[in-house]
Amino acid sequence: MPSRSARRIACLLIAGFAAVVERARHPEIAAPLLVHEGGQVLGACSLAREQGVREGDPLQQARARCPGAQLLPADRPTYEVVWGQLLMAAADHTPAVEAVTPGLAYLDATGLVPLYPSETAWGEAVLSAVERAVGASAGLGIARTKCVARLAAADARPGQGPILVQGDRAFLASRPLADLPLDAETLRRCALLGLRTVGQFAALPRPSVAEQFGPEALTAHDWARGRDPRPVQSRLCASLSRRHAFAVPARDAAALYAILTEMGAALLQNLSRRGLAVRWARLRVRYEEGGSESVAAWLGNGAGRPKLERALHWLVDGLQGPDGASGWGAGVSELSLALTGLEPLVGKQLDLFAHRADRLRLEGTLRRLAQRHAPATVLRPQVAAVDTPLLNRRYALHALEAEA
Amino acid sequence: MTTALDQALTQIRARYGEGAIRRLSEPDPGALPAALPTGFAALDRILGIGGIPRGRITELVGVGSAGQGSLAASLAAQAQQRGGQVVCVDAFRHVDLGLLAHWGVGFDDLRVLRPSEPSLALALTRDLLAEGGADLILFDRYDPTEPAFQGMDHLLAEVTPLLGATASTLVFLTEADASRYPPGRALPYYATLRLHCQQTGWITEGLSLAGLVTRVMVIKHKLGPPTGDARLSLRMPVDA
Repeated sequence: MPSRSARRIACLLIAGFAAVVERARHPEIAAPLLVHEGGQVLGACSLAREQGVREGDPLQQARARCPGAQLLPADRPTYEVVWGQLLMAAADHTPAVEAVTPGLAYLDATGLVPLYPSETAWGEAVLSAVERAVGASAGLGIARTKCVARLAAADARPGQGPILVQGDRAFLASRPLADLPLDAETLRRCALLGLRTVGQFAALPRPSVAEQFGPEALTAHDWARGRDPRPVQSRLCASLSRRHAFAVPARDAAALYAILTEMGAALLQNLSRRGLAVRWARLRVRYEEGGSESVAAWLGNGAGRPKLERALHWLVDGLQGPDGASGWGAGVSELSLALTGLEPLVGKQLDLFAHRADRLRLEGTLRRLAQRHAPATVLRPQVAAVDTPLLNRRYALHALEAEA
Repeated sequence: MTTALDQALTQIRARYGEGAIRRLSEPDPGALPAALPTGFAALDRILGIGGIPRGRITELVGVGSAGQGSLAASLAAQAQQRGGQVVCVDAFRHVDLGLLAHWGVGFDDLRVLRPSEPSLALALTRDLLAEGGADLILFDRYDPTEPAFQGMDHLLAEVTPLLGATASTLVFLTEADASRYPPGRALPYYATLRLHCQQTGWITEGLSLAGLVTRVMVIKHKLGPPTGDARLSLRMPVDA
């Protein structure tokens, strides 16, 4: 078991997240599932992945590889809601969650030893919370660095439980070099030099790596040596909360609403004073008969008092009671309201551009320019690989004409 | 009571259009905010108008790693924060998307124009403006010594009035030392604002390089104080 002060990072990975969500929504579909958007695969289920389909593949290519697949159009709002629920479920077990992209998140697992019997128990608690939220199992890798946690999570099989890595460098040593963020040319040159594993690459002196493969390879070299200083960058779990204990258990809805509204107003005032916006409201109740219940509501951007009050009503109505069916009328002994997902409130700015009535006008103009000059003249930048550490590979340009 | 002057104003408006004449005490309904903030308060202050002028040409002059790219990226982010659309004319096919993202430029409101040859970049810009333009157009980059741009100066004469008509702001990133700018080029003449960027130091964190310190000097300004300089700390993006 790691020491209390040792940094521990968990990576939560659900490959083909969109397809996983669709699978849970459509359990009757037995065929491989492909979720597509803009002519590309947004999510591929495990069956489709076994046949070589990957996210980002052109749809035609994916259909050729997986002829019997069922195609579904992407429903991003639903995926975002499910992803938000998943993050909230994970946030119950960690002080920090970094959402990278739907399907990939890093969790701070440092210092959790006193709260859970073991790191494995913590991982299993996270996985079961995630499974309840999404209806599908996830991979969880726990290590000292993000890089190793991600690789361990990718290794995890459904239902296997968390993979714990104690020695990051030893874990990496026997893995293939392709696990590191190296470009194809560097991998080719490594192969020519007889370098096949991460351990062999890590054994190279740092100046030699810089000289042979360029400064970009130094990041990969650091990772190979188990040095990945990237922290878990979380905004999700910053929260404000208030608690109210009833001397006499509350059985009256009006009294409950009144207390909650008062708590919400006080929290909103605090938020406003600190220049923060909030995304989630979470209500936790403790029942007189024992047991507790937690429900959360998405507030979105710019939550004001009316919006919060509506959410509070919705939350109270959604309470199931201590046995899951009797309702909360049995008596509430304690209320806890937390506003979570605090972010700096970006001030609204006046629109300087009076002529920007129609964004489509510019799109039309650019398409005409593409026709007049060349199709590849007008390009749209996109994030190509959000998780790659190298800037020059994180973004890509795509021809606007190809999207039309 | 209608005076003779009022009658004259009415007649002029009827003959030449609504905005043809007005009293200075009256608000100008068609007036656009004068400037686009740069994102650097010190620079906005010395520019006198709160940023770079809209509907005009601005030139950022400097030699490699002087900070023009970062300053332009900051401008693009400021334009987008105010609801603007940004187009980058990538003449030499080396637009730095990582730098733009680092300064907060959103890709949804960014388009890149990449001509098949650098010599067509200015013509492409003119065509874009003729079709209505964009709120901010970054021309990346203009090299006055580059043969591709020689003989293209006449296009600037066509571009300038289009900028005024479309309220687009055109920013040239020029790769040259201001003191050794080749004579006879038209861009310094057509530019309303010219800023010279010069790297004066580095920002380090421990042993790592984190950014650079740039001195930005006003070398031409037709709408504000014609001189002045500001020192900007520009942090560089790093591999995550």
